[in-house]
Amino acid sequence: MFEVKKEKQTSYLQWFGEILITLGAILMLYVVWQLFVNDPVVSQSQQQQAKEYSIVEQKNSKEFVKMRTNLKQGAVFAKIYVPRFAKDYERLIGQGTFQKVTLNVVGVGHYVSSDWPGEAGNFAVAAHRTSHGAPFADIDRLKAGDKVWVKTNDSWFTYEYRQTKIVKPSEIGVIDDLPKGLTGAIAGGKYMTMTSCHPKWTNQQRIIVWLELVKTDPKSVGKPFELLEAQR
Amino acid sequence: MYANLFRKLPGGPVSKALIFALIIFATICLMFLVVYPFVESVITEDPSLNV
Repeated sequence: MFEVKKEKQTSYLQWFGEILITLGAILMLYVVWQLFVNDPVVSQSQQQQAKEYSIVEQKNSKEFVKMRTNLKQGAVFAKIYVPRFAKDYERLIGQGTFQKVTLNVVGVGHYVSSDWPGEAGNFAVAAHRTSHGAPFADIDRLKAGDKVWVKTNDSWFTYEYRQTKIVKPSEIGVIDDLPKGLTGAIAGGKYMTMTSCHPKWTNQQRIIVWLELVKTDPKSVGKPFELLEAQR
Repeated sequence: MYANLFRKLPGGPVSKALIFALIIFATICLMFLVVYPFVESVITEDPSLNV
């Protein structure tokens, strides 16, 4: 009698253990899916979306200044080119930093409280470092001399690398018009801030990369020569 | 649980093993194609990012 009871107890324990192991496996599989299955698919899709976006751009003949006032969360308004990440690196920039509608879908999101590309102040963007296409996976590779191009429906803006800094998530002054922590920043300067999580795979800190506007060209002149060279 | 499932599968040891592997594969496919994308879509927003 005692033996049967003990055997039953063991059987229940075994079931419980197996259920726990199964739950653990399901959670681990989720990480595998997010990093190795979903990530490359989303990254490819974001790159493809960016390449095809010119069709949408041509339909929108409004000037950027007029168009931007009506932008909703997730609405695409620009493209970003970072040859340091990959020669053909091209991503869309959407309005806002809501994960569901912008960061997880479009890729790069514009902080709504920050300024617009080319304007005096700070044009700040965010993107995932890992998962959901990881548009800023290699943000730490940006260095002195690197350039980043932003294209709106009427202009090309060339920004040049200035500084990288690791900060706490609460240090939101980094996206101020006069970025807190940027050495040599002056009022009226035209800056761009790229933000992402740090270190990779965690969100304990933020990695901040500051750039400064060095050139503005009308879109009609075509892709800037320097960008063409960098993409070769 | 798994031992019981394995015992109830039809055929000899080899066919049992094959069916078992197939079930695991189908479960992983279901997770990757249906369950995880759904979970991803309902995961709540992180308000700290919306500066």
